[in-house]
Amino acid sequence: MRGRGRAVFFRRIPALAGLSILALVIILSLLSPLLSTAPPEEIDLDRSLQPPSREHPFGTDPFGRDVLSRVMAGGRVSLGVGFMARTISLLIGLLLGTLAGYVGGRVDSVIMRLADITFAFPTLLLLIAIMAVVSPGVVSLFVALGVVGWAALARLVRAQVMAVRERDYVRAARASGAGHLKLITRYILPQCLSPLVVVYTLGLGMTIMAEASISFLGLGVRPPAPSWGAMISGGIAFMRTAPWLTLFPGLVLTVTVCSLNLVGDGLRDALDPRMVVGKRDLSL
Amino acid sequence: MIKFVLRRIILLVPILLGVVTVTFILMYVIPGDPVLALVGERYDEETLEAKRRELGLDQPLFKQYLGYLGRVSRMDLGRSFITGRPVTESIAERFPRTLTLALSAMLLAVSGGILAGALAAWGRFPWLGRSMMTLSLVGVSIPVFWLGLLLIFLFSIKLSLLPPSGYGGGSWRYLILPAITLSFASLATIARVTRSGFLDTGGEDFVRTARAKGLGESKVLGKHILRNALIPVVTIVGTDFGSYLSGSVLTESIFGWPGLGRFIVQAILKRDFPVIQGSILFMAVLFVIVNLLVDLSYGIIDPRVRRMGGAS
Amino acid sequence: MGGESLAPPPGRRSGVGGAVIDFWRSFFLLTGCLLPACTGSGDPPLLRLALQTEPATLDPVAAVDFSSGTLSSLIHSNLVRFDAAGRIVPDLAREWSISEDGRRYRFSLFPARFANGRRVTARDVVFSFRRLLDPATVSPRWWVLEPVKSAASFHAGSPFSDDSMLALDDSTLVITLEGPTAHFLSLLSMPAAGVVCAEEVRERGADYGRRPCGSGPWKLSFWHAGEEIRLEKNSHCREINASVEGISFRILPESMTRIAEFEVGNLDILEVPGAEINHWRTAAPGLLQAEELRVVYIGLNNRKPPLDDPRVRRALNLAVDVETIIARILFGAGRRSRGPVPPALLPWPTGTDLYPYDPEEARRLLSEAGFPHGFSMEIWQRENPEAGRILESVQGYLARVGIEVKIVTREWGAFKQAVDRGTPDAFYLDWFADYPDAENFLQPLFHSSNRGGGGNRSGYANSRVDSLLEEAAAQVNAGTRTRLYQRAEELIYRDAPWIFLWFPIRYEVVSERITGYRIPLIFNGRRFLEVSFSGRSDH
Repeated sequence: MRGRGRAVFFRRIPALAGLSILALVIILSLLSPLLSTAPPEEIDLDRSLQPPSREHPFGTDPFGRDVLSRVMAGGRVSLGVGFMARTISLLIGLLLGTLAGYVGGRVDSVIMRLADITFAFPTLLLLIAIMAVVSPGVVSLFVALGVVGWAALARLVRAQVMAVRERDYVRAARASGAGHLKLITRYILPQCLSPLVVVYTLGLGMTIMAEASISFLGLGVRPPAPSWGAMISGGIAFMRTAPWLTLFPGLVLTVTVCSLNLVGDGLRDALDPRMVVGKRDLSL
Repeated sequence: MIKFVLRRIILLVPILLGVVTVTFILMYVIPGDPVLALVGERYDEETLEAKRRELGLDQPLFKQYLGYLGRVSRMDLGRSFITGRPVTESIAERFPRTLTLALSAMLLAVSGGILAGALAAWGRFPWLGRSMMTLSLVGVSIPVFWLGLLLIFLFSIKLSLLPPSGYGGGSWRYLILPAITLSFASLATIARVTRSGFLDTGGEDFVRTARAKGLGESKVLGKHILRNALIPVVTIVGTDFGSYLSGSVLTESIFGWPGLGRFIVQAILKRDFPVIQGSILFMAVLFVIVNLLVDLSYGIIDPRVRRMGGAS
Repeated sequence: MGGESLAPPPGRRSGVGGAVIDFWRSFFLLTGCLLPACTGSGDPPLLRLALQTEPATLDPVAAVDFSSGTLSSLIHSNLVRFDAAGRIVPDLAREWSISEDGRRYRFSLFPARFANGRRVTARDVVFSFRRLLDPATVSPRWWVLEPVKSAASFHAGSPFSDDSMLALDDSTLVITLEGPTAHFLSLLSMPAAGVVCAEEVRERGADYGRRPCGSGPWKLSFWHAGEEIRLEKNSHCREINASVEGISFRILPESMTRIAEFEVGNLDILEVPGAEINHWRTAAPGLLQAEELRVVYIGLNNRKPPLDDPRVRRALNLAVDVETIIARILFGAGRRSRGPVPPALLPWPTGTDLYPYDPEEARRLLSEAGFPHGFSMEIWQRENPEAGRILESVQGYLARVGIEVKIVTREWGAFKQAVDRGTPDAFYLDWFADYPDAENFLQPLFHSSNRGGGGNRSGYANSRVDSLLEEAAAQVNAGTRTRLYQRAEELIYRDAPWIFLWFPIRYEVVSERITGYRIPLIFNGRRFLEVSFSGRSDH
């Protein structure tokens, strides 16, 4: 009993810690234009490659730009792309999942085959293949991430809809003449909310990581736009001479993903403790 | 059981067809003329035309698609635009290296993960358990490519213990860092699952009974707790297979490991269509088949799955 | 595969490290059996080099990239070739004579042999050249022999005319040109004009690119894709290296790997990457350096307003502080260019620095041209991290004179297509010499007939320059030719069709094992025949 109580306690602290770190990262990213000592894109070659100091806590890059300012500006890109991509996945997943679960029959099997095909690719591979053919840029990136992530959410929604569809109160509402749209929005979808929130949050960390990976491979956000993944790959050539170029952006990225996972775990414990979220459900 | 297996195999057909179609379409809508990358500096229109004809790129879309389907069904993935080598030959050459890396990583993940999880569950040193669990949280959150760079920075640049990257003709010294990198996320998950498995099983009735019967602690651990706690580990190894394939793309790129993952990235940077198409198709088919095998093995372990299996 | 030689020198393995390593050794025993077998010790003295990219092919007619060209030139010999200083020297041809009118070349050949032992005859040369030109070969390099009489019509589908290349006997060859071509011998030295063994080409067909057979000093021993290409001494070759038994080219795209392998003694020559130059300047006293025959530039679209105005183009040149970019981003590995031709090929007329860093003057010129508040433009680049670093600094400088630059990155095919069609306002590119001749930096890059894919991607057209270049190409007198090219270059420099950047400087470090190596002027001038092992080999 004592062990169990302690476990709950430990679970709560990390979730809170995650939430506060996440809030900090978001606030710093949003306020980066105000907080930065110098604009993140301003070049001053005379200051290039300075090690971390009081003036530049994360050092400077080859162009003399302040790495801290760039990391904060990069946070806007990474978090922005992550939220947009997740939202696109959510919308597609909601639409197709509800359709499949509610209509059933042939519609259901077509949608589920599409999901199977999406699942048949290792996600990162599918992403890099897509990014190789579309014109590069932030918009292509979050659309690609969003499209790739739809299938898991659709499956989740479908399962929930099918479970709820035949419940008594839904039948009662249907019998009383409620239209399909009303049935879905009023009675069915609210039931799916809490697992969706959990999967959305947990998937967010994975999406941000995927964005960084794609940009790291040079297929996502391009310099000079700041992005954590691109900053890390740009620093590799300087690993020996200026390691701060790779270490700091990676550290911030890890901390961000970590805090998102903590928040996600916390939400799961709070909203739906019996839910099991496997890696494939996040699809990334 | 046989019916279940057959059904799953038949379900595979539309999926594989879909996979082939997706890879074809992706590579067809690619921007830029692939032929331009082949001719080098100083070229003229006629050379371009001749190259296009040679590669069949002047055919209409549908004809190209049918041709592609036909070739794929004959296990012919075409030839690289750039080197002219058959793609299947290159895959056969590189995949064993990816497999070596993935299997080493898997071995490391399972052994390291169980060890860490067991230590964390032991309870003799609470701080050990807590730090293990923190580490495992970091483990699932740390980007593969950054972890790889950290290891290079530490073990190669600072300590000069291991080579930073390369294949070294297959020397094991070159395998260590990439294997650790690739295994880390999986290791962390396995550690977490093992720990909770140990803690949960430790409280189960049959374990208490065994203890009450006066069995030695090591026997209880080995015979009862271990076996039950390890079943979820098997599940994770199966579902993580995709991560090993995806992860190999990044890991191989960082460590210069000449496997299939890096082959794909390089082909993408050079827009070598047949190579991208063929390798991604190969990876996807492999992934589908492994997933099928994993699902089928659950069907054997737990008969309830058989009824659920076809529903999704 | 030199498994033994890959182990670090004994001194480097610390006690703890050794224990850790031994632990891992036993740990990976199981997976170890999946690895390809190593050949073990007792290797012959090998020169161990690194390639950044894997060659696409070793077939001379198909080689377009740097690695392919380099290796194909080691395996095949040409009629004539470049030495390390970039001079034309005999290769297969013992001697040659050129007729008065500059159209007939008569070569007498050495009694050389292919790697399979067969004697090389003049008919092999004709076979190889005809193969290069044959439309069925679809060689992107057929233009190397374009000056040969009726070569262009043969390439376009007409029957081959035997009298343009005539093998008089086994060791005499006469080639007739359309018109006098001063740089014809340079063309014959290009990798594409390598002589192949006819029966091996017929037998191996499409596979020839992976199993070549030439008469060069080295022959292919094995090619392990993605790993290593091993060349061994061609004992049938007239010139062989006395002390080096073979050359191992390991394919190591990551600069980190190359550096580490060099540091533990597994590589003999290391090209030092930009970010590390300062480190090696102090760490390696014997650092070799050489200016490359390569020009890096930002091409401006001369046909698209506002860049069609020479004042705007001059202003752009004045606005970018090239010296500082070289110092800070390239760490000194470049020489600022004044004009497109490397000074090693064409001496600069003294006193011409039209574009020192002068943002004030740049702003004045822009106002004069009607853009007091600047304008916005796109600069395109191909996927390449170094290009990104350079363009970001150019972007910063141009912002200071009010020009807003958007950097657009495309992969090579898409980039080339857009640039050759004249879509982008500007593009970052480099051009490296096919042969060490000023012609190679002027005719393709600035003659109006080569606009687009021919090489003149900025769409520059100046009829004075055109006629100077035409006159120089047909000029047999070297002094006159140089003066004509200098005049053309000066006109081009004034018109500023590019933002002139720099000629890169290449830095290489050489291990203590070897002596006699020098950086050649041109990539295929390197044959590793002078290299030998000093007594300090750790074998």
